[in-house]
Amino acid sequence: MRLSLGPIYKRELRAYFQNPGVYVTLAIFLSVSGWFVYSGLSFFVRLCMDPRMKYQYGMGSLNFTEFVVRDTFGIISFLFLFIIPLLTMRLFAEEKKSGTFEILATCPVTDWGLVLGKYLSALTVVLAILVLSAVFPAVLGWLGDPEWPVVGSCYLALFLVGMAYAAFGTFASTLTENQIIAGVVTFFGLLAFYLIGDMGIGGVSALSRVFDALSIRQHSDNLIRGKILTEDITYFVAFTVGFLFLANHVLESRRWRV
Amino acid sequence: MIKAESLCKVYGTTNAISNVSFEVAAGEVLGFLGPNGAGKTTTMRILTCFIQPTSGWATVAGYDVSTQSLEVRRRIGYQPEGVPLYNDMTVRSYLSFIVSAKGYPRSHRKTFVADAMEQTGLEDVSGRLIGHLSKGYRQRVGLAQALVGDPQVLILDEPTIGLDPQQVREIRDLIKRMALKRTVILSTHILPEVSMTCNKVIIINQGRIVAHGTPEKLTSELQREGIARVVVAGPVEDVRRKLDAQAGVTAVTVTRKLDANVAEYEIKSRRGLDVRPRVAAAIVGAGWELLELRTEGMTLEEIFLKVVVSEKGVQENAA
Repeated sequence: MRLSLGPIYKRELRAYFQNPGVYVTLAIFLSVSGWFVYSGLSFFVRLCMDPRMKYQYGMGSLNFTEFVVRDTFGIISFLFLFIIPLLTMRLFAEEKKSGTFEILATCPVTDWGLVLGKYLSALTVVLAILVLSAVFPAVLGWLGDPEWPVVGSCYLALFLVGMAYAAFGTFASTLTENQIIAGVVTFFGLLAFYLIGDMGIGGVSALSRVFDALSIRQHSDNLIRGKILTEDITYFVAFTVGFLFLANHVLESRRWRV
Repeated sequence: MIKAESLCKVYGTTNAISNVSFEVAAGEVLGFLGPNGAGKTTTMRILTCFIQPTSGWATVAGYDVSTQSLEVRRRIGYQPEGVPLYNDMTVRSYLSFIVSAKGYPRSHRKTFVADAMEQTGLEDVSGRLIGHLSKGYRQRVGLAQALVGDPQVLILDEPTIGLDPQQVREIRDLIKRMALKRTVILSTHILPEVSMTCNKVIIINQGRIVAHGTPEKLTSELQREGIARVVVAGPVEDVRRKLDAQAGVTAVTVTRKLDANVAEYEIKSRRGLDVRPRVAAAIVGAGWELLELRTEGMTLEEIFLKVVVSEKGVQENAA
């Protein structure tokens, strides 16, 4: 079955790049993460210059990758929590509010075509962010010598996190015709998934293991440390597919809902 | 071309529509007439596969709206209520988006867009942002959107709402031209629209079809009495009495006094009886001057009010 998502994808992508709000979001994202990179770097430099501080923090040896690179990517993946809801909130909510959704839904395009077309356009913007953020590893490579395979693993982490967040945001946008609500639901929903691992901290009970398994942070931290595990990749793929599936179901529900 | 059989749609505990059945042949223009909230939009949404009926079925061009919805959607152009459009797109890019979303091959897109713009007179604004257009032009973009790619069936929900009279006339002419080679369903709660553009009318109220037929048929069927108007120069009271005395006349009222001795009278008579010859003979025979004589059909407006109001009466009695 043809999904015919091409036109939807293209229109949506054009709408993104014609929207000044997207540029503002990107600018804020880049400046904030730039500031974090700078402060991480300067902290590392002070550590290097002051042996007392080094012992105070209990570090025998200083590792640039461990200290700066990992922090940088940890911060970026945390900032995604704020950026991605802003990107995905309008996807369906705006069209439902303006009524254009009715035209889209009566075009010969399946609901999966709508969901994937819109989702992939958001994912493309996420990829653009990843490309722009390459300026940070470039600076780090110029100032120090990061371990490049770890940088690669960090990028995999960012991509997987972005992919999962965008899927959740797409789903939240199908739920309401209010963009603000869609954005807020996305943010707090993702925050819950981000923090859930901390709830069972220190515990070894079955429940805390479940929380750990559900936690976005638990899975992305491995990758950011340079540890690529199948289970982490599976988690993100399952998360993405699951929420896209739900989004499709919400769209379908309009046909039979009473 | 379009067939609906006992369509029902239930929202919670309210019946949006119940037992709606009708048929539209190819090339016909069907008007859905009804007060706001009567179920017009619900019916159209079912035909365009936006929602599914709770029970009953409908086919468009032989395809079932529930099970072959993609085939149905390929054959219809739909303009939803309120003309939703993307304000941040130009007319041309919007129309070419719609053509591609409707799945037409790339090679046809330019011609289809140009055709639609030509038919709706949008060439002059093709490069403007839709958000900057006047309401009349937006409405035309909505129509262009529905008819781009030349679908067999057009479904238009309130296509002339909120326009000024000049624009309403333009849109109506446009619909008439579009209807020449297509099947059209349009909804409205403005009555003259139906008699001007449609050759079949369905009056729908509280989710049920209450009258169905050509505008002429509805007029003749629902008319309970004949009405004739005469203008006579002669002593008013005498004329009135004379007219009243004619066989078949049930009531005579003076509707307007035009001069001391000239007045307009409304003559009501039994249904299906033409009293004009008798009235004319009586007036001339009495030596008065007959200045004007005409019969009056019931307007669709009167029929509509009658049907909708009597519906209410029936329901109240039942309750």
